[in-house]
Amino acid sequence: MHEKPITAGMLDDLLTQLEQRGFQFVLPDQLSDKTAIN
Amino acid sequence: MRKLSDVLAGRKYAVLTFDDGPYGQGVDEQILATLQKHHAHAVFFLVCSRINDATRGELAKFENAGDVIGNHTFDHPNLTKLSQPAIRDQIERCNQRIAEVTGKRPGYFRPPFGSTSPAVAEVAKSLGMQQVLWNANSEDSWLKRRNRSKTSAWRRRKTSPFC
Repeated sequence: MHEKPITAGMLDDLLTQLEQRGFQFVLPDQLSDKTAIN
Repeated sequence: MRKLSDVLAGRKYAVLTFDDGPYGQGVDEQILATLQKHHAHAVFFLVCSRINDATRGELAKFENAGDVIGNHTFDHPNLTKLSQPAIRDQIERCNQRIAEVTGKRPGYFRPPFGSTSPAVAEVAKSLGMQQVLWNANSEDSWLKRRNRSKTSAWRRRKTSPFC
């Protein structure tokens, strides 16, 4: 993702959708299978 | 490897990343507030030419929130079109700028446009940095207005996210 107003405005919805799909958000050093969402 | 309990519970893990900041004008704070609402942390890959008197305070906000600051070069060029010394200059000047503000050099680096090469990877490695790409994209680069159906279609990339 990008730091810009359009992203900030929709981020809540995006994270809610990802959580509903079972995602938990972690930092790289907490991640074993190296998945990154941009 | 995912734990069996994660598989059974349907849990998946992802690193959220934000490129091209700091933006200023309240945008960084808005993103941080939404991350906190979801108990999420992220890596912010900063373009260091954007760090100025108006935006340098955002770096402390990222760190205080428990988020990570990464290097997205000084000027956001396509590094594959630069000489190796110029690649090093783009990455190292950004490291120095971030260290000047935070007191710490970043450990993660993302090439602009995800455009990398063996030369880019070699420079990052020689500077002790881990190159981070991505394997899912919100496609917010192309969005000009709110469109949930567009952004909900996360597109998968075949590139290795961590090199």
